[in-house]
Amino acid sequence: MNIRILALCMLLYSSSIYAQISKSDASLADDLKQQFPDEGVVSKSQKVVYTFDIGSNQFNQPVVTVQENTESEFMCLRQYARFQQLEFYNSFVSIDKFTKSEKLELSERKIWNPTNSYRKTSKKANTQSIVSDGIFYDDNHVAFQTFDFSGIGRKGLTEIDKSYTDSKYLTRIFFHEAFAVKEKTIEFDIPDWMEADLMEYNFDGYKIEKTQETARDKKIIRFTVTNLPKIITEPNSPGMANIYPHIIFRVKNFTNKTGKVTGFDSIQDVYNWYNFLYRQCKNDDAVLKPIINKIISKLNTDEDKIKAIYYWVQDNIRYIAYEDGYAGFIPSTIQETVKNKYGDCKAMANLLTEMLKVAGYNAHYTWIGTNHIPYGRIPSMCVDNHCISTLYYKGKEYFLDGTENYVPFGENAFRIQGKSALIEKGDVYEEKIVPITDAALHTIKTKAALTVSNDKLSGHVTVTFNGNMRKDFHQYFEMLPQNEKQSELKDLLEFGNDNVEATNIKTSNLNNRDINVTVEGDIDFQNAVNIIGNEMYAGIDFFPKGLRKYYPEENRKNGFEFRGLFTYDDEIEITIPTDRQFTDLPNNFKFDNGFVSFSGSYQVNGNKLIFKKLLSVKKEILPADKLNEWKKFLDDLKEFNSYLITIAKK
Amino acid sequence: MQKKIFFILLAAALFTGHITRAQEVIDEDVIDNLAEKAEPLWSDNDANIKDNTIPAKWNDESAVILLMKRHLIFDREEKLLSRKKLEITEKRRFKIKLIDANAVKTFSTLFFRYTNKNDGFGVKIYKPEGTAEDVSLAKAINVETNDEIPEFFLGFFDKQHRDKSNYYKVPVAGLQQGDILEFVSVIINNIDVTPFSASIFYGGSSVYNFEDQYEYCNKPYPVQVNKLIIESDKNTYLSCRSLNGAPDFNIKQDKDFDVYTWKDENRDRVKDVNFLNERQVLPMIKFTLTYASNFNPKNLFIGEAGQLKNEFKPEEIVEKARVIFSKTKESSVGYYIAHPLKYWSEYIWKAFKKNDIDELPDADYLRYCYYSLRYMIHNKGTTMNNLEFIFILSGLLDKKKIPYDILITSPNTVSTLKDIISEKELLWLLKANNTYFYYPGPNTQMQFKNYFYAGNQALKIPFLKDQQMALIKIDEAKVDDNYAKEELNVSFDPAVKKYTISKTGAYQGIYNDQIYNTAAWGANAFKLNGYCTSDVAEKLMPDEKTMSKDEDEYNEKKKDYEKKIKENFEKLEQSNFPDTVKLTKGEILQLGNCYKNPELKYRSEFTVNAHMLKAGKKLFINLPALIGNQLQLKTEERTRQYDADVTNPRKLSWRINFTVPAGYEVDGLQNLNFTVNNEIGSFTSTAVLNGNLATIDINKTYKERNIPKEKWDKLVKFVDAAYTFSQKMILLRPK
Repeated sequence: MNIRILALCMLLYSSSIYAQISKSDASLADDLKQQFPDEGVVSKSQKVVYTFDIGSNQFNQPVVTVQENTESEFMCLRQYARFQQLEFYNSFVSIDKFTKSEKLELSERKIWNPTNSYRKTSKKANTQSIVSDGIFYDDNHVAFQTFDFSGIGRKGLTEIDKSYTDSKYLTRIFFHEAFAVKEKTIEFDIPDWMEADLMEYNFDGYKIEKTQETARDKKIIRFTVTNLPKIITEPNSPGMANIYPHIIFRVKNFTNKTGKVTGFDSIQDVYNWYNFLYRQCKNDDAVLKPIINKIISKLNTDEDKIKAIYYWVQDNIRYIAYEDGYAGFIPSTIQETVKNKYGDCKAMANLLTEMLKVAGYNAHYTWIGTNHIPYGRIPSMCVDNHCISTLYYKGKEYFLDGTENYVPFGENAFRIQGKSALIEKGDVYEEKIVPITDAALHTIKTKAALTVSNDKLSGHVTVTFNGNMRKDFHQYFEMLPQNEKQSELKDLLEFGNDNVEATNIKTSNLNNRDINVTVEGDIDFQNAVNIIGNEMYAGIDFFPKGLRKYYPEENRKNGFEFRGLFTYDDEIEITIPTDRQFTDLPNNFKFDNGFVSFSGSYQVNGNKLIFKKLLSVKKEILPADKLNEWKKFLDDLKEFNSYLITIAKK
Repeated sequence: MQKKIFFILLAAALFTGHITRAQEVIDEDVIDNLAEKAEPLWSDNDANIKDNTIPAKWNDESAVILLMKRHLIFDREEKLLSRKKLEITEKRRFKIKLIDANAVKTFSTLFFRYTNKNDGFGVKIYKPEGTAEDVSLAKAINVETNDEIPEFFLGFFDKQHRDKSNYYKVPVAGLQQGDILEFVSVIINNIDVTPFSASIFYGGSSVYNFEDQYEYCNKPYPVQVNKLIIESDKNTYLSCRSLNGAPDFNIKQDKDFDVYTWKDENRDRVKDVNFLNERQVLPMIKFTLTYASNFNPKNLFIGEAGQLKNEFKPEEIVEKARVIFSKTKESSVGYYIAHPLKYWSEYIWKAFKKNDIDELPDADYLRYCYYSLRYMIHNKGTTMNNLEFIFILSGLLDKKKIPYDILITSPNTVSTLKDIISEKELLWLLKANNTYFYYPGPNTQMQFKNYFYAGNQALKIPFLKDQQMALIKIDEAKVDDNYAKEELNVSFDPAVKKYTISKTGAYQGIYNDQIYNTAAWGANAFKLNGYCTSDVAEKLMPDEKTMSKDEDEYNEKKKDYEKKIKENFEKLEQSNFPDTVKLTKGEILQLGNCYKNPELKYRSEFTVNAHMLKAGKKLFINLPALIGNQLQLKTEERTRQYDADVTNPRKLSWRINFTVPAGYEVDGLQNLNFTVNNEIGSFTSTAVLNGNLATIDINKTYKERNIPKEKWDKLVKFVDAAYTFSQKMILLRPK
């Protein structure tokens, strides 16, 4: 028989039987299963090595380039498991190699290659573009290799080589992956001609061993950590940068043939780079004059004019982001944005800044991070992911965000509060911190006056929004089709309660974003009063539905990130017939752990009862160690809200 | 610069293996080509194009479609090397006034096709002050998957073959509220209509059936003018209907082409309504196009060349159905190997003869036929469609000379009998011994009538010389065909506010199917097998070897089955409660797949949080909520514009046996007594206390399927009663 046919038959035969793995692999599989009982595939080891070289960018400026080499070895812990390893890239970061190899079974080795235990099964990864949330187009892509493991103990290997055209784009390196890792090493081979800085974040609670050694022409810094679980995705979790250990890398300076070149040694250096890119944008403000004239010609005060310009940008420029290469960093010109009537935050910030300048006001383009980014101002590009305009007016700074529709002049969206604004001022910058406002300034106030009549409650309710709650209302409401708005207002006053029917609905002037939003109407509350014997029992469960999504699931690991600081302020007045009285009132309830506070009380005045509740979320992130306390609070709150009022005969 | 990358979710998406293309920016050459091909479309002198006014009644709408015009041209084109292609050109013109911000946002991104050089696309914006601007396509991006493309932008035939065409998306520059947006497009598809194997049957001709097209006149926005023009070259036949008040098609003929036109005007949006059989009530058109050169096959639902075929007489339908039925004998079905349908009749007949089943009375024989076929389909993976099922069944009845009728109707969610336009709308039934046979579900009983044909009109197809065509009415489903009976033994622990529930349920008809499909997965192992385990069916038990193999397989997978059933039961019970259900037990007591024991029965035990309120030391629990969410009709739903279709007459019954917790006495049970009973339906409940056991019996019945709008208030009465009942609280007072 032909030896090749025989070999093929043997291969087919051997493939059909259960995997034969070495004893050591079998033993390792057992260990890993114990360690990571819920995982199908685990990385036994992962090593990432960064090396550096000198190159130049698109502007012919000298830069440090980075090569990242990653070797990962995987082991299957189930009878069958499909596993994909992903690697991201874009215009500035390329993947030069992404191969996949699989460890041969004992019997396979004899056929294929007796000495090499791994066989390369894919030399080229599949790729796909990533459509990011809210982005029309960007240059982000993902490459992936897929393993179809069949057998416990089967192993696979990937090798990835990535190149960064500029070390500026190597900002953060996380230890955790989308899969569990038994042992991970991150190594930086820092050449003598380069000075780098490695800032460590969230290392507390993890045993990350750091070593440093000097080799010829370079310094090697290694971080090693073991037994890393995979990244946990839980709803409303704080961002990765808040909770997972990582390193922020930067090149402070380097020496090439011509001499010393500054990298990101200081904030000024980062600013210089931002400013350089900003200046690539060739604005022609001739297009602005007729628009500005139209907007402000009939206005008298400076404040009205500023507002009009600010609101014009909010209302007339749609958010459509087109991020491709340097287009992700250089704003669109104002003439293009005006023509398109769309743009991203950079385009809007650029347009708004120039419009205010042309109108005679002192406005400046500004880089800023949003609250997903937990760092203060450090010399790295990872700090800033957003652009706004800063206006200096009457001795004060105003932070104007064109992307935040309906934010009134003088107020700031929650996501930039407390953040460092890097303000363009020619060759120098100015840094200001966006003020943080108290939860009391961002409220939904509900006031209801209800009367009991037989088995029904009816009366009038008013809901008032201010601060960011008002902004959120506008952003949602104004984007509804106009033929749905009335029913949306009705739903608002019915509180998602099927037993409530709202009529005669009125609102404040919803076209005026500077004032509080008020929605009011008459309500009838069916099935709210239970009549048993001579007694009536009435209840209104206004349990804040907004908090239900923050109820911790069983086994939750991460804390919560709230979408903002806010207050719910409820006051419900119930009037009963004069021949009746309130009895069995529940106790008042109070809670305050520094992150969230609550107070609830009942007060009787003749035949009226006033029920008040005040809930404030005072801090953005509830840490994981507060989860039990938080859960208890929510349970207690629900308990407090579960009281019926007894209305007895006198 | 704001980017969020959900790479974990991306990993999950990648696992699906969905076909995608990479995002790429459009090429300059493509832009030029698109413009060039679109150019002639702008010079259309249709009078409706110029009209930009909208009636005042639509000023509060989000947007108004001023013109929606589609023009299809079917033109056979001879190619080289004797290959024939049918060229289909589709021209579109769409014009919309964007009144509010939502409409601007929706139409900020447009989609267009560029699959070949014949495709064209162009966009203009008209400002309120009267100026017109061209929209640049320079920022267009190749769309990764066609799933995201809204219907407005898809070509007629691309709707069926989304993945085959290459689409782009483009942000629309300069768009504002009050603008009018207009786009034109032309796409050309070529279908190969060279006769191959088709010629064996059709004798050198070729036939191509396009997908049936259904279009409702109402759109998400009001429509000023909606136009459809179909030009065909005499080889493409149109069969069409205008239903429920939609305008008719017209035809104009010349030597080479027939031109069919349809126009609808001044059409409002339709508001959402429950219980609506849309195909029966909403104005719509449907049509089907068939290419057939040199031949007019008798089975096709087409008329003569150049004929506007908007009606098929019963005799025509029956004749075509007879040809289709006869053709079916050429089909093959099977699992590993496909065999012709006649083979299966023979094969089963032989098995029957071997087991003396052929000697049984007709009624028993029929049962064997049905359940054997059901077993083959669902336990042995013998794939077949309804018509093939009917065909094999008829062959088996022929063997024993049992009389039967072959009936055709149409699913009532698709069409009425008189408005059938294509073979795809036909639904086949076999009637024998007063039973209607239809393709069985995995647990369906022989006597079950599906809602989509119960009560329909049907045509009996005559096959023998002395038989006559007849129009008959299929029996309506009855209330007793579909029921759910549940008994819940409930205890309540005030300390933890939880119910502990032991539940048994018995289900028939649609409820049997629902529970089976949700919870009984994996139960269909050999011990609860697909063929009836009754003494009649025992004659057809598999041989020992097969049973042994089945048993081995079952034992191997038993743990998986049990785990899966438990998960399924948890999901099933969870669907009734907003809070988390913890299931301790879930088992199927009777699969309900056999004619002698048609009820599916199961038992489950679980705990769930109770909705409990307090008043001082008194406790209130929403015990009635244990019957599950009840329909609540909003104010706007209390009057009807259209007749209602509740799909099935049915009955739901519950008995709640509630043990009053120690240390408490119960009050408020008198509030749980309800009686509403009328010709449309009923809701009754009675609550009785015996010692510390409160028993509540609840019944909800939908007596009729079709409810005229004039009688809607009767449904409202009993539905309201059920909802009010479900909101009641009972009081537990400490002793």
